[in-house]
Amino acid sequence: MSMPTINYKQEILDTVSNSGDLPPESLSPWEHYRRSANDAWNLVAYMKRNVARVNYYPKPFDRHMSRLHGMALAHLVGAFERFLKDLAVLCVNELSEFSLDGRLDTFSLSGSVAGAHFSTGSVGSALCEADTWLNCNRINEKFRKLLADPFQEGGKFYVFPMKKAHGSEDEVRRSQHVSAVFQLRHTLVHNLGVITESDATKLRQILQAPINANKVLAPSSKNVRQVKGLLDETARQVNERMSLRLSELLSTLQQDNYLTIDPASKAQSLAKSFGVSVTVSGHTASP
Amino acid sequence: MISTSSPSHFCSISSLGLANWLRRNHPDKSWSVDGEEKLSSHLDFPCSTEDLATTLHNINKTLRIQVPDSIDQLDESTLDKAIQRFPVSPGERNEFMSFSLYWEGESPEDAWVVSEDLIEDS
Repeated sequence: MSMPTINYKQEILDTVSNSGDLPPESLSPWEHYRRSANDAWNLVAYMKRNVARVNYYPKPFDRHMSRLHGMALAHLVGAFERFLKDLAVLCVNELSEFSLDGRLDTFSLSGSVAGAHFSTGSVGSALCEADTWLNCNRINEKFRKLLADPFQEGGKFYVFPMKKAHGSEDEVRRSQHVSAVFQLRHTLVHNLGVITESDATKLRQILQAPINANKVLAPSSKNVRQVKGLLDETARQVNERMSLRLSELLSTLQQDNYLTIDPASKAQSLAKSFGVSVTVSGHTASP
Repeated sequence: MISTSSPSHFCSISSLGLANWLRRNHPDKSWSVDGEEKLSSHLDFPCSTEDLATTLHNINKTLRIQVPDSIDQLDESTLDKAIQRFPVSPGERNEFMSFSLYWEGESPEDAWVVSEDLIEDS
C-alpha cells in the first residue's frame, strides 16, 4: 500500500500559523527577557519536580535531562540575545531623529530590508532585527557609537567592558563570562554540544583554562541555574546602565535643541520600557 | 508525605498573608513560580523568599490556594499544614513544597504553581 503524499509546504505553513500573540511584557526588553528565561528554567524545574519523584528509568532519564539542560541553556542565551536586540531597537528608535552625526553608521541596511520594514515605522527594527547579537566586541561597537555624545567620535559606553580602561575589574570578568556563554551556545546550537577543536580554542582563549576538544557537553541542572544567574544579573545591570545612558543622552539632545521632546512624557515612556525609574532633563518617572 | 486534595478544593488567603507566612516560616528557601505571567516578568527564578514575598506584598490581592479537603479556612497559622509536600525522589524522605493557586476572580483552570527550589547551589 502506498503512503499518502504529504504536502510539506502546507505542513510548514501550518507550523507557522500555530503561533500566539506576544505577551504584554514584550514591550519591555528586560521584562520580556525575564519571562522567557524563567520559562526555560521552569521547564527544567518542572521535569525535576514531576518526573524525578515518580518511578522512572534512571539512565534514560539522566540522558534526556542532560539534553533538556542543553536546550534550556541555548534558550536562555537566545532570550539574552533578544534582550540586547530589543534594547538596540529601542535606542535606535529614540535617537533616529538625531542621526546626522553618523551614530547609526555602524548598522547596515539593504533596500529590500528597508522596504520590508517600511510599514512598521520602526527604524530600529529595520536596522537591528536581521543581525545576530552574540559577539561582545561587535555589540560594544554598535552601542558605543549609538549612545555617544553628539558629534563625538566613538563614545564611552561599553555594554561589555573587555579591558580595565573601559570598566571595573568585575565588569571585565563578567564580560569574559558572557563571551564564554555565547561560545557555549554556539557549541550547543551549531554542533549539537560537540566541543570542536575550534570551540575549545576559543573557550581556552576566553577563560584562560584547559578545555578538551572532541567531547560532548552534558550540562547539569546546576549548570543551567548558574548560567541563568549570570545572565539574569547581567541583564539587570545592562538594563540599568543603558536606561541611565540613554536618558542622559536624550537630556543633552533636548537641552541643546537637537531634539524636540517633552521630557516628562519621555521619562514616563522610557520608565515603562526599561522597567526602572528614569530621569530626562530633571523629570523623573517610575514604571 | 503526599497530601491529598481534590482538584477543585481551594481556600482564600491574601497575597500579604502568603508573603508573611513565607517570611516567617521559610526565610531561607528559594522558589520558582510556574505559569503566572506578572510574577514571571518581574522576578528571576529561582528567587529568594524575600523577593517573592516583597512582590506578593506589593500586589496585595486575594489568592485561592489548593489545599486538602479537610481544610475549610486558611490563615497564616494553618498554611504550613495545608501546603502540599512531595518526596524529592522515590523512597526519599526529603520533601519539597509545591502548591497550586490562582488570583481570586480568575479561573481554577488557570492555576499556577509555586514550588520550592530543588536544585542545589553547590
